[in-house]
Amino acid sequence: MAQSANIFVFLELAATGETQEQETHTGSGAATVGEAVSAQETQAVEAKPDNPILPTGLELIYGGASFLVLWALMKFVLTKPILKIMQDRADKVRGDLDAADRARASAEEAIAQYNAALASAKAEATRLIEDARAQGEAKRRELMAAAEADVAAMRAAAAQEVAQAKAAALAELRGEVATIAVDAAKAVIGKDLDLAAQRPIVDDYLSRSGSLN
Amino acid sequence: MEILAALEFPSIDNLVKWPGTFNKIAFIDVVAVVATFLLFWLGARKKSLVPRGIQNLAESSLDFINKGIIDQTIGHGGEPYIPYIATIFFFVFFGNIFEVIPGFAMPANARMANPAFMGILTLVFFVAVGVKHHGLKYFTGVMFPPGVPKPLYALVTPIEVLSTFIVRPFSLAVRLFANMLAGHILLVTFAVLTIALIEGGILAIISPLPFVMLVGLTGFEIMVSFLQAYVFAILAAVYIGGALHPEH
Repeated sequence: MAQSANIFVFLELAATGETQEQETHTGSGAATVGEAVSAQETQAVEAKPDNPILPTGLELIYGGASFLVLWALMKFVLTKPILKIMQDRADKVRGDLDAADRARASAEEAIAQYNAALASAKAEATRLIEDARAQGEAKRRELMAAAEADVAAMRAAAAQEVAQAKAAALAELRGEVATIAVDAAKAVIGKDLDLAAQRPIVDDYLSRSGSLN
Repeated sequence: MEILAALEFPSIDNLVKWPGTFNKIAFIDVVAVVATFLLFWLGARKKSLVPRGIQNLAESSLDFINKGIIDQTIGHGGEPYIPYIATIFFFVFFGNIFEVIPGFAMPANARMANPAFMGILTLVFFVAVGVKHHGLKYFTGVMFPPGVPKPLYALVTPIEVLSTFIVRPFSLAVRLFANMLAGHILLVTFAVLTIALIEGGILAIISPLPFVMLVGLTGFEIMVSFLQAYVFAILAAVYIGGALHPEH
């Protein structure tokens, strides 16, 4: 307990570090703090330090001078470079953001131009395709018409050839038929018949029978 | 009882024999200046685009001062006051944080000198800002706030003068001083109680209770160290902002 009691006395008297300057009033007279602590172990000590509330002159001088020195350092040496670094960084960030905005605007403009060019190209391609398709259709129709004309011509020629062949065949057949018919009639009646005299009859018959078909 | 040494608050001469009038508080003041100087000086050396390490800490600190305090209180035109507010914040914070640093265990601001000096300097500063921007009309603006019926000036003017020129620096100083002294006394109380219980025979069995409280309060005082620095800085900025834009 003696040690803790010493600490109390010590704190009352010496917490400020002025133990050497402060004097304590004991029953036997003034004593230093160390002496007061020693005396407290043997008898009660009436410690009466200076008023702890009021500032001491020396502390005011040391504290004030320290504060003024620090203030001067902060004002003229310390804060300016750091504030400049921060301001430079803020400016750089602002500049980078502006550059990013400009780049974004430029990119958007490029995209718009690209989209416009793409739409134009698509329209051109569509137009070309449509033109090609129209041209193809026209060509197809032209070729079809020509082919149909050729076919019609060939068909007409073939029909004419067939008609000619048919007519020739009929003429030949008539000649044959008259001969055969006269020969047959000769065989039936047993007498000779003049082919030239009979031919008109046969031709007439064939003409009539042919017209019936 | 070697382990108990960790709980003792060392003598002022435990670390060094202080020469002349230079004492622990003065030493903490110097350390606060050196620590703040190193933080920003080392932080400004790399100048890399992507801040890391101490550069990140220095930049974040100034950014916090700028956006978290000055922008919120002074607003537009507050940039010139960054050095003063940053000085207040770091000087108070480093002065406070020695409360929980072993070997020191004493916040510089638990003495009245530093808080009183900063409170008075802040008064001078914001009055100077007001006079610089508004001339002597600053004083009439303070003494005769617009929108108040003239008969009420008899009541309002003394209150405003007292509030602005006396209470503001006084409250700044006393708030910081009292908070830090209270925290210091709390830590001392639980540290001494722990020692007393450990040395108190059977009572040693409950000694972990104040010890746990001591550990918790140490963390709490770290937060208070930051918080008081923030409060002092933001109130100084509010007063400067009020002098700069009295219409707000």
